[in-house]
Amino acid sequence: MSTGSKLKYVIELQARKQGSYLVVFSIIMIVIALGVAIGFSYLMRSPEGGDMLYLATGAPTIVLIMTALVTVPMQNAGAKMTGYLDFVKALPVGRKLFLIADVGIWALVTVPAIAISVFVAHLIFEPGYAISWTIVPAFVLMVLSCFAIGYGYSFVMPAELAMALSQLIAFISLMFSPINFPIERLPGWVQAVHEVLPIYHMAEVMRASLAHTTFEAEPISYIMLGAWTVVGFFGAARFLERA
Amino acid sequence: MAVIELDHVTKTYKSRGRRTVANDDVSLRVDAGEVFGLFGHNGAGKTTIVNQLLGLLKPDSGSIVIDGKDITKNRNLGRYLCSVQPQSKTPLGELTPRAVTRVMGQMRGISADEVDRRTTELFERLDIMQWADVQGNKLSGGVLRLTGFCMAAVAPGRVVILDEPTNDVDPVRRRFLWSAIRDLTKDGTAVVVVTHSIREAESAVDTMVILNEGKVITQGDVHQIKSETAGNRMKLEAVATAPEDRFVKPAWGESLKVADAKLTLAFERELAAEALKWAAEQRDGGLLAEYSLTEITLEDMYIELVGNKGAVAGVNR
Repeated sequence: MSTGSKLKYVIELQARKQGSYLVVFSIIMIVIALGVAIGFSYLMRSPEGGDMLYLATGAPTIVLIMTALVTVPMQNAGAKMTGYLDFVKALPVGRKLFLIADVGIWALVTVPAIAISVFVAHLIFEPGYAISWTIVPAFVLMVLSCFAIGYGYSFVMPAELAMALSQLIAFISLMFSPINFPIERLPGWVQAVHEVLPIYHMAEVMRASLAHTTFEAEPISYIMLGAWTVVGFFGAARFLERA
Repeated sequence: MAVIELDHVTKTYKSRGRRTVANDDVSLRVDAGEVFGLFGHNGAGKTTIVNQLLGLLKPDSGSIVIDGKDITKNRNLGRYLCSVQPQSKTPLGELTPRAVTRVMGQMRGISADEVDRRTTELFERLDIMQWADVQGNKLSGGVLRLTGFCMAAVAPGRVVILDEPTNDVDPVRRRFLWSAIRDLTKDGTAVVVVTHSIREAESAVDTMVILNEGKVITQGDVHQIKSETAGNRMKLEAVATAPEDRFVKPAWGESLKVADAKLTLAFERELAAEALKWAAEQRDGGLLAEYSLTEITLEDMYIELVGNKGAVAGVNR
């Protein structure tokens, strides 16, 4: 049997197992994205163009982080504890197909939230979006790096620890990450940490694609995301292939 | 012909500086077309053997050959050669028994029509058709277990591995299940059954191995092992209505045990008439309630061989 049809069956298994939960989750993500773009604007006395654009271009990054670095790792930790991953590892297919199928399904879940939040934010605030063609490769790179890290840490770490870390990531990415505000507002040492972590670079690349006339991402951001992708997938694949 | 051959397999777990020998120099063989019972207490090393067959674990030493292929050299082959019933706690989410059985069959390369035919056949056989299209998260433990069996049996291949297939299953469907298990062997598939329910497996398995603390303590043909160990003995079982010290072992009896208000007396088969007479006397004396003469079962032998001290702290991998 071809790898293509095996992949099809793995996708079917994963998609039908989660079923309506995937729909519920994509709706929740739409709410979160709108919450970041609209809700956070209430934090500011009079949101000016620049600040508003930060929120409007930050929301899609938050969606990716909440999905790939928070929700999926929680799921994976659960799958590990219930023995579902052992079941997956014993299926008569290549184990990397599971990773490909699952990343594909979850990446699709984020698309409506990202598209709708951008569209609604544009209607309400007209923050100054200027969508570049680079959105497509940038989205692919962000999806890959985000999910690679999410799968990587949740597979490699003990389940309980991965669950705890996922909650920490949710909190830090919302409050202490330069996604919804410029990095310069953070203390120097936090800036230095963010230069190494992937969150800041994701936000930079997302911003540069959604508002290319206002923002520009440094090449280092693309390189960092590429590096995190490799590290994450290496860890996840190693876990799956390990005896 | 051997479908599975384990040759001097040893597997050790290391955790926080402690070493646990899960399989200690295990050699065993499963032939085509037979039902093979893998018995042992919790922590005896049964699951470790299964996981090594599937390539989820790698033995420290020794070799594992399935269908002529050395899977210690190519660990990935194991899961293609063996179809396994998932552990009972494996969540199916919103997958229905029919959907998940179909996917498993198609993943193993059988055509959509054949999958449908086999699925219907299995569901009817096990009498679970009424749940065929109910989501997995709404199913009872027994139906999930039977679904797991169908997932492994829909496209069986050379080896089917069943882990406690009858747990949570009602007595009527248990019988259907054992007969479905027998059916799998008709075209030469070897079936490995891991179970604690030795009493019910007794009539269903052809060959077996008993593991204790990672070691094989006996293996081979079930009837042969029984006749060698049980010999020509039978036993009297009775409800004891008096404490142990009130009973006097008759001279012809081999062993007399009273535990939990149950008396067991083993003796040579030709003394059955004596035994019945003795039991009647004890009953008249008010020491026993109802009693019966039975054959020594595989479970009796298992307990004799492994003993109660075999119960070690379970390590589940």
